[in-house]
Amino acid sequence: MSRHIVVTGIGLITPLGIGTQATWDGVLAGRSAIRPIRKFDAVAYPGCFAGELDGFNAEDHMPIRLARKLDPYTQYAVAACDLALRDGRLDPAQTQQSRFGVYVGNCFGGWAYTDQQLRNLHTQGTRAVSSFQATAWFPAAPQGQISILFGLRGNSKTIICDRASGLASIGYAARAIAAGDCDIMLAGGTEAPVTPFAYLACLTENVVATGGRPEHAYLPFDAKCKGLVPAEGAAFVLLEEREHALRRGVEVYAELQGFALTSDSCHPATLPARERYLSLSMRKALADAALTSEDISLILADGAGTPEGDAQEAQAIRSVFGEATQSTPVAAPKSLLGHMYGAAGALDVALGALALKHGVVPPTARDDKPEPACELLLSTQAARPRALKHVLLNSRGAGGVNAALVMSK
Amino acid sequence: MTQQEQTISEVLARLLGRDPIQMTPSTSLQDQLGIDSTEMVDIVCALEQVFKIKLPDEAERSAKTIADLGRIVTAHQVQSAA
Repeated sequence: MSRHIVVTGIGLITPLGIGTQATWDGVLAGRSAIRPIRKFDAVAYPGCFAGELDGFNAEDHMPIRLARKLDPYTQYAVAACDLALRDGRLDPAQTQQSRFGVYVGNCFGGWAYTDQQLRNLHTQGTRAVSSFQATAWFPAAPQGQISILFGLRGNSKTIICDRASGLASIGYAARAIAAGDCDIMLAGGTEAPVTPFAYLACLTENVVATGGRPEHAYLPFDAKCKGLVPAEGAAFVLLEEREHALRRGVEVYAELQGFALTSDSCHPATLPARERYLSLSMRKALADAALTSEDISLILADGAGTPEGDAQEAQAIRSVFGEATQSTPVAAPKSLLGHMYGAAGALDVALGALALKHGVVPPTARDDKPEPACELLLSTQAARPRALKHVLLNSRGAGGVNAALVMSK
Repeated sequence: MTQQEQTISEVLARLLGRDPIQMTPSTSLQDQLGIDSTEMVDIVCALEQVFKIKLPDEAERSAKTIADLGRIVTAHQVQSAA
């Protein structure tokens, strides 16, 4: 990247807590936020778990008049952006708004709202459907509401590439700043998939773990892995051109150094027969950052949690890192709170920035030992202090999307 | 304020997050409460549920004040009773 892009604010709305500190404290404690589903009557979903928010109140971040028109995933996004702006001590009204944009990653759109309105339609008729349905459910709703609420008039976009959406949105936002199109971005992801229909859609992909103890449901790279657990929430970072941030005198968490995307071009829902292009996205991101694998102190994994997904990611890491595989820690802290789909990669960026700032390798949920065939230096369920300089992040999405990003202290 | 206008004010206050004390019969729906067309549809549907009546589509277009909504509701309550 030509201009330097830094993270100056973080806003997290996650099942581990409302706010960055609550989430980070939960990560450091290795606490699991995965529970049996409570958001809807899950009697027809035996053994199903989710990462659900606790204590989120939309009115803390926006007028009730607005909140009631929005799907929860837009509420989460607005709230996370509000927190990121506060954390970065930035008032959008004091900026050149035509050079301030928002990039949002998302998979599903507004199914919490739509699930209810469909029920109204089929049981009570057309007049029972909310007049706000159209603006509540479409995937660009968070982008629109964030730009309206904060007066952002720069380059803005909604990025949809399945579970890689969040990482991709931050990568593309950084590129927009690097290209000189804007100076500031709010970038991240948001998701609210814990609804009767959206959760069912997750189940049909055959990657969701069910049964057993909830805290042992989502176990990336573990010998007992059986899938991921869907979760809701939002993660946004405030990105700035570095000189812009330095002039403001604001604290910098990390610098985004490299980003790459590749495509497996395989199948809409399954992985390719063998890994080839995930490792390519990692190499391209490293090249974009002008770094090598030996420079990387921590890998935040995609952590699919399925035997095939984990095996492929492990193979990709071994392919790129070679002998350094045994000395480079791999962590998947998302396993503690569930996979936030379109927001997951953005959460990883936020946790990566916090890991760099505090010098900590985040934990990964574990039940048994790491799957020996993966041959990775997997983090344990306890956070470990370690001096970190450069972090590599992976994120994969159905349909063959591979995203990789490098960030540095 | 009539009983209908009072109830309408309470519905508006709930939907808009406002204090009902701020509302009078002459309160302008657009100019003072800033109600847009989509909100108007939502409000009419809410009033139909509260008063258990059916309101015509033109109610959304013709009502400019709380008093206007009150007159429309009263007229259709009478029709429903007849």
